[in-house]
Amino acid sequence: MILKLKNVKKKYSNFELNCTMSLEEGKVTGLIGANGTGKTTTFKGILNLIHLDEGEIEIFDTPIDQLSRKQRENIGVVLSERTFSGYLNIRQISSIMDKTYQHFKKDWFIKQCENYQLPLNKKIKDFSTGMRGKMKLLLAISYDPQLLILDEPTEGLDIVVRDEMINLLRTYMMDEKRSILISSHVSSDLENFCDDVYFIHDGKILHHEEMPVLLDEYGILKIREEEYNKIDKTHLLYRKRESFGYSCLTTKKKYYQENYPQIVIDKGSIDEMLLMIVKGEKICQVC
Amino acid sequence: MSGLLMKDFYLIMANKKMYAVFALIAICFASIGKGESATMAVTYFTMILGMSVLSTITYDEYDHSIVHLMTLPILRKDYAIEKCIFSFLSLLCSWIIGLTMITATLWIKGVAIEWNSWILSNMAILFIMSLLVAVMIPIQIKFGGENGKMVVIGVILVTFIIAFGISQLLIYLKIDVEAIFRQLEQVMDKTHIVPLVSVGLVAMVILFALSGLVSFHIVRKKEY
Repeated sequence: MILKLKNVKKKYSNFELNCTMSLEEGKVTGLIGANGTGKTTTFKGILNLIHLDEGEIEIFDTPIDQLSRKQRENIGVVLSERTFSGYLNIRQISSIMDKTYQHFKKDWFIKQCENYQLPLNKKIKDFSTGMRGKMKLLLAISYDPQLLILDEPTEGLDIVVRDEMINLLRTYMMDEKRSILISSHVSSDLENFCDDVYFIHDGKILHHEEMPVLLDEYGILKIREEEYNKIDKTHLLYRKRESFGYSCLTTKKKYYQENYPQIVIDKGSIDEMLLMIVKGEKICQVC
Repeated sequence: MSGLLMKDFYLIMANKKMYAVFALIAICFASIGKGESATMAVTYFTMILGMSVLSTITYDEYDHSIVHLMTLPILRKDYAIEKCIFSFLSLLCSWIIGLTMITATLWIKGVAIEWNSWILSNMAILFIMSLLVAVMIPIQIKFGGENGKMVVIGVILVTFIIAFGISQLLIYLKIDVEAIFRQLEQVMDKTHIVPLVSVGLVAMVILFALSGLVSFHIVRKKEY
């Protein structure tokens, strides 16, 4: 296991994180949730930026506070809205990185910056959001880390830049030993990129599923109240009151398509599923 | 840690034009009269450059770049130690540059220099600056740029009150402080300059080591 969080708890005056999750080698794992639900706190915990109240976090099978310098050099990080001081330029940053990381590919980094038309001598405080986003991602992958931790890497970026960044990450994942933990509130980024996804809300992991299963087998049933009372609820996860009756999230879309052809069943986007999980009421005790 | 040192060097060099202006002002100070303001000029230049080191902590806080720094393969201990090493080196360099610059100005003006007292008085300035910066590093790290300033004002106020109290106590005990200083000056005049400067430098290293230790405890407990 590349990354493991076990019963991680962190209490603030108005918020409590209670999280258990893991990331396997060669996998891209997504953490999805609305703003303020605990994604960044989880990432801060993983990066040892906050002190946990309870629980354990291990990276490369080592507790995070005991990671060696070499192990830390194997982690690439992109944090939302955070990078080097805005008063530095790319050339200066590349020199700093060269002194900080043993395997920093300075020439590759500079070449990529030129390819993406990032000015090398301009202070990064004068960069656009897209330029900063590209630079941060290029920096994070420029020393070939085994693990990438990306907190909202596409936040504030337009569709073209987002697409470029996802392609960069796909290229990075060509090596099967690499893993990515990524959070985003733009679900389309995760939908086509992640192997599995955790849904987080109010500091708690509410659901975890493999992405192909989520896309192929999950669905949202739109049913009237009298129909709802009659159907088999074994494969229903969450229900949400609607004006017409109920919306229900199912883990066996095909089962309901075959047995209840009269019921309207949507494929459901990740956003819709998130809404069901967050706003809905859990109805399956065994799922 | 060399990466952090390089980062701080780049950050303070962002204001290099301003430092050139300060150097000119210091030279102007030293050029007035027969060099009466020379020590003042060295003090001014050392203080401006020495204090600018503290601005690197403010830069680190700016748009939370400190959070990013803490994700690099450096330990929290490294950050605290680096700040102290960088401050020590910057202060020493700015003092040497200031001293050389002003000494050259006096020499060009043809002012006779009493080397022992010139170096020692400036050494005292360097030591006071070191004390100030060494105290301010942990304060800035703990309270941040803006709040740190308020705390520093408080520290100066308390220091002033304590100094005033001590002076009143000495008067009450009828101790002649001026006589003590005169004796000290005589001893210093007779002593070779090298051991005195060495003692000063060792004292500076101890000061910054203590500052690093306190800073490390603050950084270790801090959340980002």
